[in-house]
Amino acid sequence: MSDINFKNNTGECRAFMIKYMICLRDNNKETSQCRHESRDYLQCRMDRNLMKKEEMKKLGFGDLVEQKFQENS
Amino acid sequence: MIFPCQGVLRGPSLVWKVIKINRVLPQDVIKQHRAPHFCMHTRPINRLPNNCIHSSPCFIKDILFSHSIRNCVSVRTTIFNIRGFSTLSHNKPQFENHWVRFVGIRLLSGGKGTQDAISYKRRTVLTYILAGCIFMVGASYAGVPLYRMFCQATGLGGQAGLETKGHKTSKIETMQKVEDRVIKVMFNADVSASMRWNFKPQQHEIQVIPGETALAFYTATNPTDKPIVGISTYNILPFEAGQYFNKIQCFCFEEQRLNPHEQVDMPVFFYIDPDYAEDPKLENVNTIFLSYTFFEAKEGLNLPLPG
Repeated sequence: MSDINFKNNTGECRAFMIKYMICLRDNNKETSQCRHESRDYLQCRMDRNLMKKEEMKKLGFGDLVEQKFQENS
Repeated sequence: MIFPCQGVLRGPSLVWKVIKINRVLPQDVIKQHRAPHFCMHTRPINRLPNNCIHSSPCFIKDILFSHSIRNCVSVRTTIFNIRGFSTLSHNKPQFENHWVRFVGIRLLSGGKGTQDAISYKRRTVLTYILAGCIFMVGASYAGVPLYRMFCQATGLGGQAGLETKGHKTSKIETMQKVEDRVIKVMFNADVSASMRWNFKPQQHEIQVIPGETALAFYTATNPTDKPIVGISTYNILPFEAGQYFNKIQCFCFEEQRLNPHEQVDMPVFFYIDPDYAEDPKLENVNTIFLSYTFFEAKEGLNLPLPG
């Protein structure tokens, strides 16, 4: 539970949060449609050391990782 | 005549068991005894006169069915103690005398024996009571960590299942989503009376599928001119759903410090266990309430974290 760090929070990931909230509003609040946005938000937090780093597939985004891999290749 | 010990000693059959043993009383023991006398049928053992021994079978019955249960118990043990020496038959009076004499002497000289038995029993009871008291005191101290472990394991009382580090990440990787159940999660935010933060959820509700991770946000603002430290706690309703609600990342139980006029977004990253769809108690439960409450904390407060 101590994985989220608010001490140095300067609101940098707020943009990602807003994107996620817009996505939710547009998709009838269904989170399954907004998984890309939530992954982006968590990635932002991890990059800025506001959250403990975890692999994406351990956070339940395994299928998105595979998708990205397929898109890139 | 009513014999109160009848139940304890199962009646006259006990006498007959003793009678079946056929060894003869040693001669030197016989010589030490006095001649038998007659005595009254209904006197309790501890008030028998010293030489009250007689050869009637009624005496045996009196011994067995004495007024005092305590005496009956001591009689029973005594009779078993003398099994090696008894021999009895109603058709052989000389042996009957010997046996009865021996019983009488054992009983009468064993007045001290019954006292020992009583004090032994008292000591045993006292020991048991003392042990019980110590156990209760120990259990009340042990109750705190045990209760905490129990709540985490079973999710009783609305505690969400705890995500221990690395313990369930394998489950997240492999779990399958249950597409036909859509669960609405509604969010509630509260502050305690003395807490001056503005705390609210960013979304009123979201639709979640069990087996899929989901993100939600709360926002907290400190409108005052002084820094305030808060600690949050949460609850899940209904209680049975709590054990399926697993939080991967959240902001609970830890101090959060907000400087004057600062605002933070607090994410809650969670998933609902796919086993939710298989719980019969939750068959008709399609709405879950997640409620956070913030309390003001003193600087440097160290809460024992669950798990």
